Amino acid sequence: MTSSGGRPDGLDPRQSRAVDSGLPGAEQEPGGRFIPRRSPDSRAPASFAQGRLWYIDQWQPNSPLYNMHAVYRLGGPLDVALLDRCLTEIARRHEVLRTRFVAPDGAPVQVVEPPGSVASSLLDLSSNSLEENEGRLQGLLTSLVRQSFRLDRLPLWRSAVIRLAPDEHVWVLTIHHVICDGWSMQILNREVSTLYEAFGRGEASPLPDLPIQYADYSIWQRQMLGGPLLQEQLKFWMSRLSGAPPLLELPLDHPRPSELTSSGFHLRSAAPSGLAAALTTFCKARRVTPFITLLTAFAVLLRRITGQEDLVIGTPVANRSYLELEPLIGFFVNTLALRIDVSGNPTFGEMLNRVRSLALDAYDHQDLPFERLVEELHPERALTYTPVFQVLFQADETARTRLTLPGLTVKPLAVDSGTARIDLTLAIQRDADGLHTSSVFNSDLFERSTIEEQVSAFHTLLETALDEPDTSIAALPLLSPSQQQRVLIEWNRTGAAYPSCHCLHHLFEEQAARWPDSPAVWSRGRTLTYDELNRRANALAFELMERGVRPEVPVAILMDRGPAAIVALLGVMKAGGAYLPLDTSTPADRLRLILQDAGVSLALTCASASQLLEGTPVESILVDLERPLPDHGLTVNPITSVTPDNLAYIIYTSGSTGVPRGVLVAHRGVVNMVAFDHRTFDLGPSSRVIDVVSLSFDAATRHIFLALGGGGCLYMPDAETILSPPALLELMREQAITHAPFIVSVIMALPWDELPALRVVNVGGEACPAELVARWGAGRRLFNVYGPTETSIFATLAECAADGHPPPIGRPIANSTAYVLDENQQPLPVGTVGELCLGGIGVARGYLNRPELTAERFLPDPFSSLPGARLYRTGDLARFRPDGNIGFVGRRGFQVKIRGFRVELGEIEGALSAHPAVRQAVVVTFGDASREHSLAAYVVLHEHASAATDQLIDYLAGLLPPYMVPASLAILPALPLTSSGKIDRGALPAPARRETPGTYHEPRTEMERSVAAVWRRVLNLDRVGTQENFFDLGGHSLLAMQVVAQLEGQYGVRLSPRDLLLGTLAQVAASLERQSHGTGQFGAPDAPRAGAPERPHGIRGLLRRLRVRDGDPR
Amino acid sequence: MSVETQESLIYKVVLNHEEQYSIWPADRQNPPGWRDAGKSGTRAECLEYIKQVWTDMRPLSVRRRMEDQA
Repeated sequence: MTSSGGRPDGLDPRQSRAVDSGLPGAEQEPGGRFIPRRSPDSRAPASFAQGRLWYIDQWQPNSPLYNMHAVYRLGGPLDVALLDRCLTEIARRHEVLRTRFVAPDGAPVQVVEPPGSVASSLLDLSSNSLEENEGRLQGLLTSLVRQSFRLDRLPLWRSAVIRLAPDEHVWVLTIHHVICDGWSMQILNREVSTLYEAFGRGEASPLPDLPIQYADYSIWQRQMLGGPLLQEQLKFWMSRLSGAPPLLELPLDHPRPSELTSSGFHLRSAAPSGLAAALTTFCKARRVTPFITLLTAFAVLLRRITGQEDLVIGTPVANRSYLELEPLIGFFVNTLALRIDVSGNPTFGEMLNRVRSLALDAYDHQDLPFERLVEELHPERALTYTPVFQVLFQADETARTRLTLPGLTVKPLAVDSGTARIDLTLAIQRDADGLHTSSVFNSDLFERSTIEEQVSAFHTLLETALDEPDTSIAALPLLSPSQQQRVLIEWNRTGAAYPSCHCLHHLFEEQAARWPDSPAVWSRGRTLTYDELNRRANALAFELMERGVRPEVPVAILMDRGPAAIVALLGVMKAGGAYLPLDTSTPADRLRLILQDAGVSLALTCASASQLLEGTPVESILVDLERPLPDHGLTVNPITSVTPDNLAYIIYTSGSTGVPRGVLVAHRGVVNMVAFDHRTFDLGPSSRVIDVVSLSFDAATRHIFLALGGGGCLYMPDAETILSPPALLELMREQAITHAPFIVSVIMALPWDELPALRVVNVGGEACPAELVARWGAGRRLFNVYGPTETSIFATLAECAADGHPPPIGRPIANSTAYVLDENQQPLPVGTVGELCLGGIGVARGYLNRPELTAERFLPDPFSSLPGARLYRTGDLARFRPDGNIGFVGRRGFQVKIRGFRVELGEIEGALSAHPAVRQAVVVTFGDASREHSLAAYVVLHEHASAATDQLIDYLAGLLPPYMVPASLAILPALPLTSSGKIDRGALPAPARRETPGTYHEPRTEMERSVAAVWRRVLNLDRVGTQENFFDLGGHSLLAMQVVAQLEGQYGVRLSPRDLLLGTLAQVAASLERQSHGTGQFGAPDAPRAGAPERPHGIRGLLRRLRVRDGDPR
Repeated sequence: MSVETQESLIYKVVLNHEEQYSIWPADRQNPPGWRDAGKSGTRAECLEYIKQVWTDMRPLSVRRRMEDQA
């Protein structure tokens, strides 16, 4: 527990305060006070901050979330009775420690009870062995600090003493935040220390009387808020925060739950030694406070790990700007929402000036209670995160008041209460040992290791910034040298031998010489042996060479899938040329565009495709297996000047703009990949590899050489079989396929079958869902492969375990490297999401005729040990897992913004796929560019399974935040696929929008009309429909309490705030109806009323609108 | 990084021993094996320059070998 920082400029806030004249309390009270004592009969409302905690407590009673605690281990003879006398005296002095809260009119007021004696509860464990006690102490302490309070009853604080041994105690003080803050905890320390010593000597209390009490402050605060000063401050904050991003998108380890949760973890780490001294020196030289310096470093860290340039960070202020407030215990702390512009690429020193100036402005406007600001801002309703900001920063610049008890050693104990009020809090404390970083994070969102890495990145960044403040913020390192060594070197140690003098076709030729009579390519009705395939390819190669084909010359292959196409592909390579595979279903315009772009003058075709070239200048050669087999002389392979650095093929892919671009791939990278495949997948002459993808997809090349590079046989089913999952499965069983490399969508469409011969499954092309691993991984090896065409087919690989989680994409393959980088090609901490960049032998030459695009996507590789190496930016988002495996997060282009939220379409698809009836799901956006995008889902069900679209939508609503629930959902018999076998998102049917609530339903019953009247009054609206929700209409917590009070006045029935929050008007009315007839509570949301749309809102999620920050991370 | 920020950053055109071109932030040291092409400016300016000068995308060693054989 800590108190908040002071002014960043080091000025005494009272200096500026005293000259303010706009305050109602500005006339000084007797004794130099500004804040008057209240009259004895006045009723004290809860302060704004207290009010908020009271509201939260109404929604979620008995929560430990706002408990504060101090725990000390005391060595020596403790006088518990003396301690209790001290606490009794402190409670006598501070009315707030005797205050409870009631709300007769819906608004909480403070009730101060007369003084009484305080007794610590004593837990005597001294008869147990010390080891036994030590073992259970942490658990005991956690349960003590999590014990909840009732705000309408005393006490709102507890003292407990655990006796471990006669001279060994643990003192546990637990206080509800509603009467306390970090500063107050230090007052308690000071007063206990003073009184324990004085009373112990038999003296009276030396503590001076308190000038005012907390209730005096809260009355004064209400008066002051009506004044011009606060109006001016409100204006300041509104203008500062208008248009700020509602959410800071920290890289999460787990998807954000559909409700705000408060499970937390507290992590403490010491900063590297020397950092404290460096900070002091730096701040002196720059004339800036440590707070500003540390906050700047934190903002830079957030900028680097989120990529966001507009940040809002909360920070507490003590809010004790008046002398008379300083000695008071109570909830004073306020929170400032600092909006920090981290755009451009300033140096750290420049950034420091930016932060200093905005923080000083903010501190000049620190009086406005944050609660008031949230009410005014009325931020977009989101149930899953806290309003305005989700990270809090705190730095203590002054030493804390320690507890000192004569005759006793006092050691503070850290106890983790397992709660977090916000996504992430970073608190820096400084003591004689140096800087300590304490972070509290929501453990439903983050893994401990991720936060550890980020705290470490904070230290590393700060160290360099202090040392070299002229470094640009983009260039500050986030990894220590040892961390860099791990992610850049150790995890990329992939060097391995491969046939570095071979071209791709040489691998086949070697096998053809070894197993001439073995089957090489199978298709229904036609199987080619290695010898026949080689001779036919040689014959073709000689023909091509005669026609001028040589290294770097592209030859198009426009043929149906089948053995003839394999002859064509080998023939082109044997001639030294580069093959350019084109699907026979390619639209004519696109075909012409590609042929022209690639400068193709020669194409290999089959009978059914030759007419596609009509009207183009391209000459064609028909590759026909009906031609007589060339004679034995053709077993001699052609000799050409082609080398591994010449092109093997050109593959056209669709760019983000839809304009096709040709990727230039040389032999070397593909040969390396094939060699890796053969080492990894246990391939050989008995292997039977199935290939179902179009030749225009680079994976086909891999499948061909999985078989032909090791003496195995390639199985090429016809198009009809591929399109029928049962037929495909039948073929796999019949032909005893051993190796199946499939695109995720294809295997997901297959019904399950035992397939005992199938030993190895490879999946790739799309994100691999956990269900796939569960279904197909048992009894065989299943690998998830990943890689773009630009790095020679595939680059990373993971062997998958069925653990219920989507598998990672693994680690880089031989002679390849993989890095997760920020946009300046700096390595990111483990767990942080960045762009996956790939290096090594597989990096392609570039894009044909697109030097500018090549230069943009293929960058200098600053991490390679080979000078001049290049790195390919994949455009895919990924993160390192702590074990060095890479987790795929999403494709950049597949992240869409829905109502301002960044939505990963794959996340929704994953949630749908997890439904037992769903076999496959795809989610796309729709809507024209001028309007907001909406989500449309398409689902294919399992055979014999049934599910209604409404059921699936309801199911999603239970799993995902409302903005992620698609506006449309359609069940299809099958998903359309592209020629390369991936889901063809463009060919999905147009979505039909679900009927959304929003149409006006007139109140019908007497009760509905009454409730509508109250809502209209409170919300100042002309009409309110029965299907509307109070908060959707603009209500907030204060207004909600007015509604509760008014309806209670009218009907004598108390509406639970939950009903109001969760329900529609019709539901609220029905609840009142039932209660007024004595039938009890209405139970939203699990038992919605007929006719009312179900709302996916959970109660804890609603806390978010109420839960605003205070100055304490614990 | 926002488009505005990216567009305002200054890059330089660099090339490696194979005369393959790329861009690199102007304020950072070239990675080993890369030298300046003598052009710096915005991202767009640098890419436009590359579009003009990088007319043969074959790596230098491949070009040389093929010329020797021709």
